[in-house]
Amino acid sequence: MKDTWKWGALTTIALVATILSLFFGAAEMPSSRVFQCVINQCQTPTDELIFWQIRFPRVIVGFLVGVGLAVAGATLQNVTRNSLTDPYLFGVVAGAGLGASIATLLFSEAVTRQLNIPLLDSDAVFSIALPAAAFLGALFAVGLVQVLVASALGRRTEHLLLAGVAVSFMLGSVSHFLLFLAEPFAANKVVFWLMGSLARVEAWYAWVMLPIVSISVGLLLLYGRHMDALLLGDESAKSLGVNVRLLRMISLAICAALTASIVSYCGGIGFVGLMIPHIIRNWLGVTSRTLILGCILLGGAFMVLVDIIARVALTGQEIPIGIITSAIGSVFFFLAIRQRSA
Amino acid sequence: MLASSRHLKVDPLSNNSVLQANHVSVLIQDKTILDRVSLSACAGEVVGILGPNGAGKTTLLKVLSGQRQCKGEVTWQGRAITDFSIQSLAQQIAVVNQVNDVVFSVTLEQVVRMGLLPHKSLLSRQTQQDNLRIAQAIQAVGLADRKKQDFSSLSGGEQQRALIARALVQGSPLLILDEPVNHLDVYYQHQILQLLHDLASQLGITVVMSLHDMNLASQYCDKLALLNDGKLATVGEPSDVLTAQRLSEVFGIPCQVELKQGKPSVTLVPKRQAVLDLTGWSR
Repeated sequence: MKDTWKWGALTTIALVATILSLFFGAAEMPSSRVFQCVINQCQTPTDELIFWQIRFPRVIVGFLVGVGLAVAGATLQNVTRNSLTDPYLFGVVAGAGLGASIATLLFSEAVTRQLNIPLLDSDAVFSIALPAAAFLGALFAVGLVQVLVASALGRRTEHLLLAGVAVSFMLGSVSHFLLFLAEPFAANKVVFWLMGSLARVEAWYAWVMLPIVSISVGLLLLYGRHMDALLLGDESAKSLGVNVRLLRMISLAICAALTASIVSYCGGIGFVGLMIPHIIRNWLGVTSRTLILGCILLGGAFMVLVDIIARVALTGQEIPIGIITSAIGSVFFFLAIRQRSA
Repeated sequence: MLASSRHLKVDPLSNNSVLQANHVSVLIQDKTILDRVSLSACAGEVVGILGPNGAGKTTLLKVLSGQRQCKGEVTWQGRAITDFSIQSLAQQIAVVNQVNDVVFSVTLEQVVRMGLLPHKSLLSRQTQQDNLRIAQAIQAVGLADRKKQDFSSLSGGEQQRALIARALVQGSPLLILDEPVNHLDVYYQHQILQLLHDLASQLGITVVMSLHDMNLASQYCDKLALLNDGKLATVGEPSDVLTAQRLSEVFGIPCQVELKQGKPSVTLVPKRQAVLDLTGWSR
């Protein structure tokens, strides 16, 4: 592997970003005491709580969010053979958002009180219902896109994208309508999803997301060779023994799972799935396994770094992370387009 | 190797055929694309499919490679190709088509590596042997100095050779090509066809391809099939198929056929009448 130094550099960036991120946060905690927590043991119970219950999970979740979005973007791009595809364009985020919105509204305290449902343990129910609803929403979006595409004749990739955009707007408008009807408190929560944030991350998120992200990414890595065969088109892949329809369905479902787990806990975070694969593709290559491994390292590092900005840019409050990624992403693409046309 | 493949091609008319299409028909929305076409090919034979545009050449190739469903039956080594799983079919049949929508900058070597796919399970790793096989295939088509180059930046002839190298890695005993020498200059036309001829005679690979140039077909193919309007006009050795009368009928252009070095050579003699009708048109 002649690209060893590049992989080394990426790994270093990912590690440094992760460790660096542990030193920033809302709570006052001098770096010497953070350092103690990292290498040995926290000095006070408060430190212990801040470090292990707030900062560490947040960094882990942030990293996983970056990995998930970047890998989902890369996969969708390779599978549709279009470098502009990402979970947003595909309606997956809108679907997950709708599912999560519905779940939030259903489980909001007012509704549960009105319907007089005995509150079992509303938090626990909610914590499972939320990602499940988001996943169903994402699958619904994928299914809708597939139905729209199946009814279209001719060039498939273009139709896939058009259908994705249409479904995205449609489900988005339903979400917004719900938001409009809902009471202020629930609406507040929905706004949080629309903007995307790591501020509400709780320790157990990490333990739910870790298996979802690692299983999804592992499966996608297994199918790497099959996805590569698609690089020269559907017919070429079929002649190499790839069941193209099945492969598309599997990868779409995996991307739906990845996106749903992210959207339901952290909201919609834009441009990561577009920008990170773009960089890795130019830097390391286009084959799926390389791309996915690169996206794991760079996607995770990017998200963790952006989360530092989100926490320190404004004193006393946090900027929703989706705002920052969209800002960086749009500037990045502006530059990329200029570079390409030059 | 050479002797054994000669042995394989003794009698082209006997039941030695490995590939057999029996009364194959394809209908698309009530339009008959292929009408009861029967064709066979022996191991190590080069079969050329000729015919005007829209005669059904590409459809026939897709039917033979199992990529398109049809009425009638196609068998490979005595077994219906619909009985093969998609992966085992890819182990038996390699397809080389024109590729024109490469989006990402995939390298020549990565394209050739795709040929390993039918032989790999999800978990199996790429071995040193695989790498050697890939390098040999690239070497065989004479592209060793281009292996790191972007596939889409290669010339048409180089892309065609790269895809043939991929088929070599795929290792399938049947190779199906759709107009492999289209868009190529005369040098590469002969080079590619010689390469395919070598594969057939040296490795015993059965080659089936569609062609437009009748003289190239005459020089490099053991057997020709002439399609016209979805029907098989004739099939047989080049000297039987390429006759002045039949070609004039099928292509609508008068032509002369003479024997050169034992092979039929076709010269078209167009009537040179104006076909542009400018009645009522003013500049």
